[in-house]
Amino acid sequence: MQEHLSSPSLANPDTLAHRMVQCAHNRDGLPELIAGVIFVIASGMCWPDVLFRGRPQQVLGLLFTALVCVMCAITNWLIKSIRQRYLLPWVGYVRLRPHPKSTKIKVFALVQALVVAGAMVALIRYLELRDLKLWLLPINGIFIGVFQFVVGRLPRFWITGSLALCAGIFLVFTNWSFELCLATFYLFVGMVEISAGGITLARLLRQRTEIEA
Amino acid sequence: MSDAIQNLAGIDRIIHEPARLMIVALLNAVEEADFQYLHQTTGLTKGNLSVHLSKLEEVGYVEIQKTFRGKYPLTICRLTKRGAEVLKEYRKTMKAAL
Repeated sequence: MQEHLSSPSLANPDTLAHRMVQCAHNRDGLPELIAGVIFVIASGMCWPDVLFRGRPQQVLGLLFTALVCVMCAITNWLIKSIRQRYLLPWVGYVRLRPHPKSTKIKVFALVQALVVAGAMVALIRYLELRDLKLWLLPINGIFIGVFQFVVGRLPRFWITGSLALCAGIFLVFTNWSFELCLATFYLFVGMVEISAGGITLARLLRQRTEIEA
Repeated sequence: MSDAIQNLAGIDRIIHEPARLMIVALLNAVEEADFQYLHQTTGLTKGNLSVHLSKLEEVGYVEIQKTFRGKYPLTICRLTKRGAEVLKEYRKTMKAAL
């Protein structure tokens, strides 16, 4: 954790303490694991579209939307419950105070993401690149990256966000159908998230074993 | 400048101690945190942390509440308003002098 804290931009003790709290809050990798599962489920729901092309898939679309809504609603509760049940006795409990500039940061990140996405769309139109909707994938990657940065601000979030963006750009240049690209994109992002969360959790568990030994 | 230097003599010694300063700075950034969290984040031993927390509670800078979350006992620590003011003052004095 110390290496992220040595940046000169963190000279303000408040920022430093807040960053330590953020690191501690994200040290179990649970949010990424759950996000990864959501992406893999999303990918699973795209596959019938790929396998049975041409059939109406509105039911699956509705199911997917409902599932995402339910997952978003219960994610916080789920993470809290798992932490309380399994991690609280040795990771500890902390309740974060809302960051005084959090709204400004969120608005800034959102504006930045919209500007980048808008610039990409303009560039695609200008260059008349093939299959415009495929470019939704890298744009999706940008949003995933920015969202993770705003929420976590840890190096591993940068890495997963960048991988999502790279995967999106790579898929644009394949000759696959949009449905196949979308399913592959979600599967890839899901697996990256699960790997990142899994490694983080495994490291935490190993730390615990070392402390107990 | 010399006033700022002279002010250092009157600095709050409770908060000036590095371990306690670490605890107070951490608690200042959160709403509340439990003993285990502080132990892991500060890297202090449990005995050491306990002594420093008691001292901070004694002078009214930190509020300690013993409770349960499910079946696990929790010792929740919170920075009091006075604690936050003292930290602010401490920071101001140090900033002016250094």
